[in-house]
Amino acid sequence: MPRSSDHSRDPCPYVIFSDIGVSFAMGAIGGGVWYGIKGAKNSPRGERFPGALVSLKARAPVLGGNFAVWGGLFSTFDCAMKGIRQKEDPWNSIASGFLTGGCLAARGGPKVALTSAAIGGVFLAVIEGLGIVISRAFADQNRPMMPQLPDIAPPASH
Amino acid sequence: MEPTKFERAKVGAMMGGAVGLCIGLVFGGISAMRNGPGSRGYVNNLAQTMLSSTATFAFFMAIGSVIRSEEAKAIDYSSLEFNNSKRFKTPPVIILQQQRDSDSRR
Repeated sequence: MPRSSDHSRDPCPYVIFSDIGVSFAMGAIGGGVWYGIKGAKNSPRGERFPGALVSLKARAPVLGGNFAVWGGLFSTFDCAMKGIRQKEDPWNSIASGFLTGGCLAARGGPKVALTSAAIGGVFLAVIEGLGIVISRAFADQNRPMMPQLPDIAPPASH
Repeated sequence: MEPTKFERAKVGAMMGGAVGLCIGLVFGGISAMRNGPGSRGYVNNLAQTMLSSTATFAFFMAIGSVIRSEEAKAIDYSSLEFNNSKRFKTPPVIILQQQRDSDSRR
């Protein structure tokens, strides 16, 4: 999941493409397992494996595409926020989640779009909040220690 | 020691489970407020929503944290055994990369 101030990721314009790929793979693999099980469950006995395969082939790429649209649009908005605001904080992600949700439901009219935007914003806010909470919880374990400074006289002031 | 794929999946699943729990609480609560208690009562309905969203998020975030590998390890073709045979040669790209690496190391 995208996170602000994560320096192991690509710089901004390129991260959009890697995010699209990661989201697609996530949706396709997850959807493969998900719809495989669902198709096997919904098929009659003796048809379990072919049924699972049909359901998987029909739906898993679609789920991957949906994930990719969400991830790519989110990442684009995130980069735009970074460019406009010139800082990186959780509000970037929350605003981009809000805008992404709004954009994807824009055809349903303002009310639907606003609901979907609120869902996206709340979703990203929960993720960001939990990220902060978890990093606080683990921050005590490996707090950087200050190195021992040698005893030297301070430079004479002019 | 970099974490193995399974450890990364575990961390991702835990993270996703926490996110899913919170999301299920928020959206399950909103839906209970809007639609009423459903057929099983408030608490059971909320618990069901929270559990299913926890499972979904843990599943997908475990996958998401496994497939994101930070640094792809290039295959060291020139050190592989088949390099002596005629059929497989070291790809030129790899040779260029090795030259560049050794140049930058110097």
